[in-house]
Amino acid sequence: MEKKELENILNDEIRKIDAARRDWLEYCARHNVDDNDRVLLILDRDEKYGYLVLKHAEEYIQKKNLSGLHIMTNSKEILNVAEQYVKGLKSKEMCSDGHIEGLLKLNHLYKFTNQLIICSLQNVEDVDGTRFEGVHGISAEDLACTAILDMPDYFRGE
Amino acid sequence: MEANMTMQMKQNIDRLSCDGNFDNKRVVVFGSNQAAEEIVDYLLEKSVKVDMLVDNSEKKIGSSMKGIDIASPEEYLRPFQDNTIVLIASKYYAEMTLQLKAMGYEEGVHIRKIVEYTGHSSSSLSDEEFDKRFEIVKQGEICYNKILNSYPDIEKIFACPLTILGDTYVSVACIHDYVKKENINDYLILVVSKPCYKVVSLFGFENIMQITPSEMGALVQFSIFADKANKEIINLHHRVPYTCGIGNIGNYRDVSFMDHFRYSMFGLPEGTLPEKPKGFRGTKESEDYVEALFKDNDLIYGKTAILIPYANTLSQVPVGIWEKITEKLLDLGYTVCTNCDGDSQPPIKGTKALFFDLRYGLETLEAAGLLIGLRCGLCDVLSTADCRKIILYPDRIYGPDTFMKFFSIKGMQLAEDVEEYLLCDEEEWFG
Repeated sequence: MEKKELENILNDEIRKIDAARRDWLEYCARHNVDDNDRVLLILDRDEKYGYLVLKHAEEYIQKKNLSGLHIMTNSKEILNVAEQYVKGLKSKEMCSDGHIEGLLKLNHLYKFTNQLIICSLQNVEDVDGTRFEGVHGISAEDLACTAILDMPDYFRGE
Repeated sequence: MEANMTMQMKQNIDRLSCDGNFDNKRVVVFGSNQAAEEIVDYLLEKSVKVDMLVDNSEKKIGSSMKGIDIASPEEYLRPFQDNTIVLIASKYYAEMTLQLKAMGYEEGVHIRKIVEYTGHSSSSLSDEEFDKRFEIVKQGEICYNKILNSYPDIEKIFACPLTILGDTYVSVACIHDYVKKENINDYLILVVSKPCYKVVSLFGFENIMQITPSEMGALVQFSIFADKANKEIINLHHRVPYTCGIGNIGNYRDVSFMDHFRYSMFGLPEGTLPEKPKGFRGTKESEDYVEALFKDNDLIYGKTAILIPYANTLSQVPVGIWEKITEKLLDLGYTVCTNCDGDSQPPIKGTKALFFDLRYGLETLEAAGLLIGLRCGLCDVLSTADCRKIILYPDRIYGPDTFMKFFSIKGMQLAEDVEEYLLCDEEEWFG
């Protein structure tokens, strides 16, 4: 890649994440996101895992001793069904693709908060967690609960 | 723990000790991981008694580590007792702190962070923090351009971010398969230490470059931020960067350490085997090296045992065990050596101190005949040597299963002829 081209990309990214930083602070203030809350960022491109995360969201709150959950998504379907899965959902918000891209970019600059849980297994280009599906019998649900929610002892049903 | 983290752990404990923070307190370590093991060792060294280990893992509760019981935090720490100090060295520091705060314990008073596991992490969104982080990315860009100046034609950079030998070995063991699959001809492997350079060189890669750890840190951050500089950089670690949670699946349903590389990172077909490095076998320099080493140390071909009792990332095994092994080997007519690397690793009583070049480790071991080692990165590097190899594992939990299962050399398919035992099963391996 040419040096100039790279510089332009970086400068463009700075603008995006500067906006994302402000957006995140405003979001937290708007929804009273406290230290013991988690915000699930569910991407439409990863809806499959998003649904599985929602399925185990209540268990996640309980196991991690959380005060509550918020959902941020660019998927209308996820937004519409979120409360069916999480009874005590503190907030849900539809976000633009640009907004989400900015947040991801900010997270790529540094892990700026522990409260944001990015519900994706392809968050960086070279590590594709979805490739584990089927390996040693690992299911998508296993991946959602273990890799995303860090809950390997999740409830698998009767 | 990595050396810098161990140093940080010791400094923090020294500081707490000097300030009298352990006096008349019940001392609790949260987590029963490898870091906790090192903390316990160091506290014992300083004559500080650890009253209890607490852990949220149901598999660990009720067991013990280093003779200290493991209880659930709720069971042991409720009701609140002011004379408690809880030490934490875990990437889950934030979550653990929340859990403890709910029981009435205060951060900075009762709760003490012993190791900073998340250097990339900061809860601050201040301009200062933002600028600091962006400066790291810029430094990474400088490093990236420097590399491109030296290797203008490369299509891919593989960055080994850690100084750990075993991680480096495992991470590069599938690269030849990957570049073949992706039809990549020109590529470069980056490492951060001379020993890691030597490990990578065993696989016969043409382009290897050593950069400093800080350059590597910046490059990794730059590569994440700039979308891998157009996907040209692959960071060879499933937990570095922090941006993908797939590291959490380690040891789940037989997922081994190797699986992270062959599947999630390189996308290789199931069943792909890691490469067995040729090393420098058969070269004159190798033959001369081994001959001189054996002559200088008065070693016998085929009747020399090399012990590896020291592991940088594991707490040490009581020296008495190694002395017992040595006695038995001497009785069997072996010359026994301890793989030593400096003053901090004295030879086991009755053995000769031996330091060998990693580049010729396989040949050295093959000439010796027997390796008995505590599971460490060097065991990965030497795993394909054609000789008898006995590897001892600590009886420890790693994630949802045992340490041995995740890091088993056989399980990772690095080598089939390794004899692997749990340290605690002395009857089995000592026979």
